[in-house]
Amino acid sequence: MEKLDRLGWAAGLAVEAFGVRVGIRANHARALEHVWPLLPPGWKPARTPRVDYLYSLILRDGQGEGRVRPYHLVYSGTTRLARTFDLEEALRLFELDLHFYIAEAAPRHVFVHAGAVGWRGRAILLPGPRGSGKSRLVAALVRAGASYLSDRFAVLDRHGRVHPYPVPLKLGGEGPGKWSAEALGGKTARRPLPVGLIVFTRYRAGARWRPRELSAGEAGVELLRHVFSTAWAPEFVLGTLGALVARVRAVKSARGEAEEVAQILLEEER
Amino acid sequence: MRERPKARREDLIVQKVGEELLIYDQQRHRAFCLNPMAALVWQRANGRRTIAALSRAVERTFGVPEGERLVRLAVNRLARARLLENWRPFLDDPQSPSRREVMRWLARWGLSASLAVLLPTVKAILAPTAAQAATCVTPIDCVRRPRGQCERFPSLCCPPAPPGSRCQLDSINGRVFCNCVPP
Repeated sequence: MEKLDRLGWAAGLAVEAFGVRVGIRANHARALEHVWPLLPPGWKPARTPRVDYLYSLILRDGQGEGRVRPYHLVYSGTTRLARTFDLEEALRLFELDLHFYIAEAAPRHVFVHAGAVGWRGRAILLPGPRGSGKSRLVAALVRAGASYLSDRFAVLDRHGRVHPYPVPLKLGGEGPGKWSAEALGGKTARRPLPVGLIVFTRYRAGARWRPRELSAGEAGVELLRHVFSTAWAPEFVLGTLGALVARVRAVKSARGEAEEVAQILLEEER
Repeated sequence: MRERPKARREDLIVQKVGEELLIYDQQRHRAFCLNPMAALVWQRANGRRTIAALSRAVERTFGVPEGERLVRLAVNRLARARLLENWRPFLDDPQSPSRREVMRWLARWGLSASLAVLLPTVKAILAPTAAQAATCVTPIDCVRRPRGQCERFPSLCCPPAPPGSRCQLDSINGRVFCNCVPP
């Protein structure tokens, strides 16, 4: 860290999100312009310059600095996260590491790797690993009238409410870009919502929707598959999830097309 | 000793959920769900009660005849999950019935409908890390990474790498580099 500290840092900021304070320093002020859109939802400037974790960005500037330092470098703490010519790649790795660091370290929230939408004052949670078709189902639910909470993390507080974490939706096959809920014709939820239903599902071509009710314990252990701060704060995580699954219905099923299942889920929760 | 299972309590976080238990093992970073039968046996296994005493408790609580089969299967499952202090002797207990035998036996008594409660089940998962949950990297991204960053998250490789492949240090002909290594 001392070697890193000795480099010339021209700009920096300290932000706080979900109780975690993170510092980001950069080799020139323009680098921070890339950083703002990548900060986690709900971030605010930290009240003190003292931070829990520090990112260091050395981004090649288009106006000449590139000759001196050709690589974009990103450090997460003292670990080099990226050393690449590709700015987008460097920023993507920085964004992922930042969001996942906050998800692991948040002291008063449990981050579940899940999609989440709001419907009639309650949240529907869709935990699932990458490639399970989460984003597509979230998008279908939003198009069908649900409000958008998140496509990446369902952020639970100890009362079992889901806080909005509205990162743009990534939909493979529907254009290269990222989608906001509004671009899909829906809206983004602004307030935390109590969980009404947990749906464990993954896409399988031609599968029929045949939901099986899970017991509270089964739902708890299934949820734990998608929480990665368990090792950091096991008592808090188990307490929060235990209280949640004790009162919320959870179902599991393979699913076919997202639009069809979205309609079924919203009608059931009417 | 074999007849007196003792539940492990050290380094375990236990959360009661209805009649089931959620347990997190801080040593091995595993989470378990014990169904009501396994939970009862685990809670009562204090190293002093024998299998016979546990069987009587099971018979009283669940109203089943001959609770010993259920207890032996439960103890075997708890031993496999290392949720007993003295787990070794119960792993190869010759008297422990198989799951299938217990299911058949429950069916004979007309108890199939209560299978979820009566058939001892210990469901285990490995607590995931951020790396496992993160969006994957492409095989090309993985290969392009500097060595020190191979195993930093996100370290899973997306298709066309075989499922479960990880971005790890690999070496071919003495040349060391990051690569998508199949599981």
